[in-house]
Amino acid sequence: MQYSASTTPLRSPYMSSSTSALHLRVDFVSEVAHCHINSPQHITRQVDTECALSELESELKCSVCKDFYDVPMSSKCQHTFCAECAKFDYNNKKTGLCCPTCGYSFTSFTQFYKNTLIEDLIKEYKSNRESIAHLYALGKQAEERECREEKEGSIKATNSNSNCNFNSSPFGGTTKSKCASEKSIHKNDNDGNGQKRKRTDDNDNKLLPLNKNIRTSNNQLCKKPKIAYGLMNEKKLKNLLKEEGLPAYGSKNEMIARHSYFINLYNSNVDATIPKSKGELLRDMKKWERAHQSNEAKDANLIKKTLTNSEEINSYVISPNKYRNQFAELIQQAKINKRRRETA
Amino acid sequence: MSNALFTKRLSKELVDLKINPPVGIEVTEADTFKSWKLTLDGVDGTLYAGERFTLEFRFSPNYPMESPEVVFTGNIPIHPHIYSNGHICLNVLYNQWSPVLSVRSVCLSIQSMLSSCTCKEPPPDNNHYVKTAKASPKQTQWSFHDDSV
Repeated sequence: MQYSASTTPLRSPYMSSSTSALHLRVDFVSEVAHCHINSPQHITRQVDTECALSELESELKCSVCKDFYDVPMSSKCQHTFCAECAKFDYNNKKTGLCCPTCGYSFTSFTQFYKNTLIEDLIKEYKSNRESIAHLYALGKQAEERECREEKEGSIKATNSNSNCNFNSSPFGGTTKSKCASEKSIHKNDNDGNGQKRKRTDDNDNKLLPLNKNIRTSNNQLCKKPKIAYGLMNEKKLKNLLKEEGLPAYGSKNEMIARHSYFINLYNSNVDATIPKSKGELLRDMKKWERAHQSNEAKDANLIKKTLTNSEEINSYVISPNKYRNQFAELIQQAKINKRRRETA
Repeated sequence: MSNALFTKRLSKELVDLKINPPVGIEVTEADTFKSWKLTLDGVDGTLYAGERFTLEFRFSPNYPMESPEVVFTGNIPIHPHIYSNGHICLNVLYNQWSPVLSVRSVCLSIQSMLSSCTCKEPPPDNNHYVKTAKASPKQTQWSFHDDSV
């Protein structure tokens, strides 16, 4: 093994000066020691879980420092870096600031915003890493057992082995962890060389966000701007609705409601992973229209009901005189009962 | 600051390359954070099948903000984009470098560049370049023209 050799770079001149480097030395050595001290069987298991978790962890790691995000900052192009790493001052770019992953250019660092979701995820993940690894190991064992049983049970032993690896895994692509780490290189390969390698893990769910990024950046779908309806007369509103292929009837308020609902629907569709076609959107609009109308009728009923209910309640509270006689009778009966009990 | 990032990043990459090495790529010498040597095997079914080359990576303390110097040493492959002094004409090593790239991705790029080669011949301006080139390929003004690799 080459590990013994790899510990020697720690004596490099770059490290001796800073204290953080000292800390790193411990970190690094302990990581290597993992693989040394344990028995060979242990190593493979360790490496196995490391690999599988690394697939998960790679999503939580900054691609510049290759460590968990420290104050994750996201950019408009959907790429996230540590706050420190985002201050990349690499000087071989002629066009000033741009995203190291996709080349999207920025005008200033203010266009990065803090991604608290990722920060929380990392915090949660770090505190539960042990149990996640444990669960993973358990899942893997169960999967192996199943495989073995299937192998013994069926006559076509060879076929079942190749199939069950992909079907019965509770963690998705456990057997593909190698592909997964290669996947990150797909993303990084600027010159497109990576495309030569075959994508064996097309079914992998984790690829979805990647595809989404590609789609949103390449697709021509643009969000529609909000409209100041107050400035519009009915004729303009009708034209607007007709442009979108929407029905142009009803009062001004109804038309405004219809149009703004459509804009909202359309804009949220732009962000969707698999955007719907305009026809589907219009169908959704029709549904909304129907629901809206019936809702109006229902609302009217509901309001009537609540109104009458409140009248009844008010009548109890405001005019207790109405039931004064009944109350008096009840009080008298109670008194009689009490007296009877006392005499008895 | 960049010192901490530099050592942290390189040690992570080294561990990753050891634990989970890409096919045909192996770290042979990594005694310092200044330079590493890796062997690169020609991919089966290509012109370089069965051959083994050595790549030398030299890192500056600004890595990964600055690209590493990458050259072939010893047995140098004959390729239209690789000069006989070991210098490699590959855009990701020079003006297209980005801090998200790593030793692993550079190796894979070079491996893929070798694999896509259709005829083994040196670059057309090889003799002139080798005579005039400086020691570091980063001091050369490269012009990238071949998008097919």
